Formats: sequence, C-alpha cells, structure tokens
Amino acid sequence: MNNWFGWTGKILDVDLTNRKVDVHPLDRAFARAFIGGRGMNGKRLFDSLPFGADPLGPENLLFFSTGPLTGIPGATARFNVSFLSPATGFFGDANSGGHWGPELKFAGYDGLIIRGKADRPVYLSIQDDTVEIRDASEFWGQNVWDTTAAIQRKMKDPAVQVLAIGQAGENLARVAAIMCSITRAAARCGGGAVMGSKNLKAIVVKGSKGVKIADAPGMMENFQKLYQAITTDYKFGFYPRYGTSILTEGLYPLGLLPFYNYQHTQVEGAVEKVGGQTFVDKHFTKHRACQGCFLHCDHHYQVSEGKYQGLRGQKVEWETITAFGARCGNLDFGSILHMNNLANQYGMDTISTGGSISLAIDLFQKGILTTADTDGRELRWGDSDLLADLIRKTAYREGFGNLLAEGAYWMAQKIGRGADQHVCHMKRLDPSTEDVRGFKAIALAFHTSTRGGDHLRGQPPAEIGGFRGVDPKVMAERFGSPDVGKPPVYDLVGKPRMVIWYQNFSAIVDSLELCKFGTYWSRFPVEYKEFADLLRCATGEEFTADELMTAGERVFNVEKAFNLRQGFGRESDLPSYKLQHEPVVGGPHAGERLHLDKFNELLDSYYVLRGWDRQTGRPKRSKLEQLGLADVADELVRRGQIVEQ
Amino acid sequence: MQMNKVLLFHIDSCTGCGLCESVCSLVHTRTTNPARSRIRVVREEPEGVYIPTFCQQCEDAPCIAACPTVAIGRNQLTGAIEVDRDLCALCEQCIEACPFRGIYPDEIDQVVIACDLCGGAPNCVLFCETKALECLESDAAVAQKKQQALQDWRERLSAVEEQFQSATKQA
Repeated sequence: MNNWFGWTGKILDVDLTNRKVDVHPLDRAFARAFIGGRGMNGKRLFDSLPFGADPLGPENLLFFSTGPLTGIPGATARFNVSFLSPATGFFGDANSGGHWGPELKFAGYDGLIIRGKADRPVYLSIQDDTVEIRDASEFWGQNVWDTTAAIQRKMKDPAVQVLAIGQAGENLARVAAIMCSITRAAARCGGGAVMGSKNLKAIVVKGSKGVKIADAPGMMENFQKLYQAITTDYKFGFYPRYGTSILTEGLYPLGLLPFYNYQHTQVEGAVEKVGGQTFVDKHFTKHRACQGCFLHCDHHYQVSEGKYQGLRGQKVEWETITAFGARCGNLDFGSILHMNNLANQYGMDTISTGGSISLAIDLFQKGILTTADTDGRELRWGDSDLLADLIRKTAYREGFGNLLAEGAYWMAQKIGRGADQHVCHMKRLDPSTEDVRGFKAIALAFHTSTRGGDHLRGQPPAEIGGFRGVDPKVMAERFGSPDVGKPPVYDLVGKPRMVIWYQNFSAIVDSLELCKFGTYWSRFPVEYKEFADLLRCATGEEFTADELMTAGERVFNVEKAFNLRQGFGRESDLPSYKLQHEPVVGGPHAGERLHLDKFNELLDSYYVLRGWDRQTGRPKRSKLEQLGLADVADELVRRGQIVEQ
Repeated sequence: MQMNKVLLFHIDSCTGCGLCESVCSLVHTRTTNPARSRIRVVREEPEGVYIPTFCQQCEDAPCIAACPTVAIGRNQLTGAIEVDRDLCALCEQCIEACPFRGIYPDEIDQVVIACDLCGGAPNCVLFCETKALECLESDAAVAQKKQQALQDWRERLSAVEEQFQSATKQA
C-alpha cells in the first residue's frame, strides 16, 4: 500500500520504440508544485522534450495526465494531454472529459508518458498492473467508432474505455484530434497526428483500484455544498437542457458569432435555424454525461428533418455548430450534426477543420483559389454537401484535402498569393469561434494563450456580461477598473489584470482536472477556497487559496518559457493581419478591429503585470525564482530567452 | 416493519454519469471506485442505454438461501440485505443466485457487497440530478412501479447484452 491520497502516486512510462513499459513513483514536491493534469504535463514536456524536436518525429512526447480531483464526485472527469504541437510548433495541449481519464486513474495511474515510435500500428492495453503493447494492424484505417467497438469486442468487455485516433490522425492531419468515449475529444493542437506519427492507434483502459480519499466524510460534505450551490443557481438549468448549443442565443446578439470566415456577425434567421432552442426542440433525444458529472451537458440526438433525417449521434458543442455552420455560411442543422459525426468518426478538431474549410471558401470567393486548386470543385458558402466532402478529404489528405489538413495558417502559407491576409489565427492556431475584434480583453486572452487562440485558456466571461450574470461592480473592484466590462475599451489597468487572473485560474482548473463548467468560470461559486477544500479532503495536503493561485501562475509561466525556447517571442502575441486591418461588419461592434498600436500598449501592460520584460515578454529571473522555477530560468539563460536581474 | 424503503430507478432518465457509483464507493470504502460500488451502471454506447443494477432487497431473497456460511441476512430496521464480513468466504454463490445482479464481489476487502440503503437515506439518490434513482416509502403503488421497472430492466439489459455477444461472435 502506498500513502498517496487523491493522487495515485504512479506514472506509467511507455517506450514504443523499444517496447518497454515502466512505472515511476510520483514525487510529492513535484505534485504540490504542479498539482496534476496540465501543470504536470507542461513541466514534464519542458524538461524532457529534446531541443529542436520534430512534432511528428519519434522524439516528440505525449504526456497524458489526470489530476488529484479526477474521479471524485462531480464535474471531474477530465484529463490533459501535452506535446509539441504539429499544428503550430508551439506548446500543444488538449483536454477532454468522458470516461477515459477517470478510468486511467482507477487503474492506478496519475499519468502516462508515451515515447518513441512503434514499428507498426499498435494499441496500448492497460488493465490495472497489466500493461501490454498490442498489434493494431486490424484496426488501422478504421474510424474512431468502429475501432472502439472492435476493441471492446476483441477484449470481450463493453466497459473498457477506449481512447483512439481516426483516419485523420493516421494520415497526420494537423487538425487531428485524440478521441475518447466515442465522441469526446482532446481536440486542439493536433495531438491526433502525434499519436498517428507514433503508430499508436488507441489506448484502452480498465481499472479496478480506485482512488483513495484522505477525508471521505469531509469530501462528501464539501461535495454536497458544491452540488447544492450549483444546482440551485438559476444558470444551472442551461447545462443539462441545452449544453453549449444555447451559446448561439447568448453570443449572437453580442456580435461574438462570426460568419463567412469572420466577414459578418449578423445573418438573418441564424439564431432560429441553428440555436440551442432549435437543437433541443428538433433533434435532442436523451441526456448523456461524463463520469460522475451532474451537469450532464452532453446529449444524444437524432436529426428530425431534411436530408439527414434519422441520423443519430452524440455530443455536439457550440464550437462545432459554428465551425461547420455560421463560419462556413451553413444554417442547416441536420447537416451540421452529420458533420459532427464525421469529425468524431475521423477524429478531428472541429474548430480547426471548420477554420480550414471556411478560409478555403473565402479564398475561392476572392479568386485566390480556383478550381485548379480544389479538384475542380467550386467552393461556395453554405454548400453542406461540399462541406461534408471536404471534411472527408481532409481526414484522408485526399486531393485538395491534403492542403486543408495543414490547418488554416499553414494552408495560407502554402497557397501564398496574399492568402495569409485572410487567416484568423493566434500562434498559428485557428481560434475557437468568437469574434474577438470588439472584445479587447478576450482578444488579449486569445493572443497570449500559450497554446494559441482558445476560449478555455483564460477568456474572461466578465467582458461578455449578458446572461452570464456578471456584476460589473464586483469585477471593477476585483480588477481595479470600471472598464473591464466595456468590450471595445483598451483598458490598460483592469483588462490585463483580469486576463491574467482568468489565465491562472484556467491553468489551475486544468491541473486539478476539473471541468470549467462547474467553476467560477461559468459563474458558479466554486473558486480557490473551494478548490483548496476539495484538495485537502482528496489528498490530505493543505493548500491555501494563495498557494493555488501561485501554482496556476507557475503552470502558465512554464508554458510561456516553452514557447520562448521554441523561439517565439512578442511577435507571436500580436494579432494577425486580418484582425488588425479588417473591421467587424454589422452587430454592436461594427467597425471594430485590433489596432496594433493600442494592442501593443495592452500587451506592454500585460507583460509588466506578469512580471515579464515589457519589451520582449521574456520572464525576469526574479519572477521565475519567486515561482520556484529556477531550473526553468537556467534553461532560458542557455537559450538567451530571459531577462536577468 | 420490514421493506419500508424502496430504491426505484428509471432507465430512460439515467445519463450514465455514474455519480451514484462514485458516491457509493466513497461512503462505503473511502475510495472513489466504481469497481467497489454497490450500484453499477451498465453503459451501452452509441445507443445511449444506461442501466443501473443494484440489490432489489427481495422479500424471498435467493442470495440468503444460497449462502453456505450464513453470512447474508436482513437488517430488521431498514429491511436491507446485509453481509457479515467475517462470515463471508467470497464463494460468490450469492452472486450466481441473484436474478438482478445486485450483489458484487469486493476484491479488495474479500467480501461480497450489496446495497444497504445507507441506513435508510441512500446517498446515491441525493445526487441523482435527473431523478433516475428515487427512494420511496413502500406501498402497493410503489411495489407495482418497482415490478414494472424490473420487467423493463430485464428486457433492456438482456437486449444490450445479446447484442454485444452476437457482435462479438460475428467478429
């Protein structure tokens, strides 16, 4: 028996090249400093990735980690996976719910390291202490759903949890996701391609060991408080009923929903056709949930009308509805659900896939692409048959799909002819669907996000306001400026502070491996104090709220250091040409864009408040040492990426 | 009076989250571990059929009859089936005898486990957000509801399992 609670105390280390399986003990000081999930993965990646590694070479590493709260009752089903991103060349990570993460922990492991490259397709089977690298040639070429079913049949157990890649990952599409529980995705940054490059088709887990809880009665008491607080909140009902699909109703009127590759924000009938109410009224069939989660924002659906009538599937996120919908000018809900199924089967990041395709249509409409580039197809907005076909071609890198599979940024680079002026990206990552031009704090959060443009890395809901019930007075008090809730204002005092607060908050939530939907990020009263209470009950370790805030900052700084070491400095935090020069059309923020001079001022303020050099954004040694990251500072010295003090 | 509380379930309301499993194992074993829970959720994807299984507190309980070491009895206060940990030899004859898959081995404690209704206020029910689980006072109407639920349970579960087995054979 080991003396770990909350954490299991063991890390599985699998070398695919040498077919070697090892188990390492978890170091307690490391666990206290980096907590779990994203925090542990990020530091391990920083420490272990060889300098100059090729994202799709055998030297890239995959770190899967659960957190100390993964698997406890509540919205805790998540795991994180980190790697050098083949989509961007920056720090890459992704996070997923479902049932796989908790199962890995129940099998007795906090995390899993994948090294090297198998000489032929394999899958990894983890059943408690029995870990085997098995032949996967019979599953190679199959989609995620068929692979999952086939592996469960082969193991004669429908309850084994399968994490897998589809054809997109096998074909090294830079938009490939890592999928689990059939339709849950660790989607961002192209992790599916990293698995594909290692010939690793799937990781199958079945666990019976469980997680020891230090103070079980205390955990029940704290969970009960949290359950009460969330389920009696007026906002709670949105999650089970609509999931994120309701965001169309919430964000469209605010001008946050971009259409036609960010060329419009207002399209008549959009909310009626592809809103959350329509999803529930017409296509919803049944609730579904991640492990242990009472928010159950997942749904089964069956298309009730049109060409895809009768089609069934699960888990459609707002990001997907907009990626294959508004952004591509398509308002046919049935076809969006069809494309959601395709992306889930092929194993693709719906955000980046939609980004590639919407850019392609835009470039075709502008005459930058012609039928000579597109296998003879005319690319038109809202052509749902075309969209579905392009998704398939992307997954297989077939014809024009070979270009789409590169992701919007690289695609534009390859096309040339001024195509890069039409890409919306942050750190080469196609951002999640939000028109940030009118929202300067959100824009700052997306641009300084360590994995590229993404709402889950510190987007401050306080700037959105609206039905999320933000109290501007509370926000003004917290961040020291009355302007944090005024979207178009370049507020140099409150907004950078607010973004930093939410970025560190997201980092700690991703390290505990909680779902942000069950926290203050979604306006529920679950913050640092509640995290500390849960952590104490789970692990037996005392943490103060301040220590956890610092841990979040530490996690973020390691990721920043990783990007600096890759050679990406201030320029990588700046807006792309499109966001600087093309104003928003329509809606409450018509005419808004990201003015480079003003954005630079915002960035200066952000760097200073972060304790980084105002000019370069490089951390100061004093800041890193204050965070207990002297080793990171030393490494940055070797790469000339630090400001000594 | 015996059998004063009845734990009822509604398959169509279950989201498959397994919070009942987490809470049950936490309360009884100080671990979160579905493999040590006294309620288990069978999940059938992609169909989305989620079926909880747990002790039905049978009046004429086959597990009691099957136990060679007289380890299984009934709590006179709550009416719940009880396992005497010292007497249980983990022979698993009760598991085979149970028609509802309501009794499980706990490999770590080396005993069989079954729902004890948490002494009359089941924790799983407290946190079942969709009310797929309900704890009701026993009366004729509730007894009838329970019979219907069990009939439904039997059909759905065997359908799910037959489908998986035939698919496995084909493969």
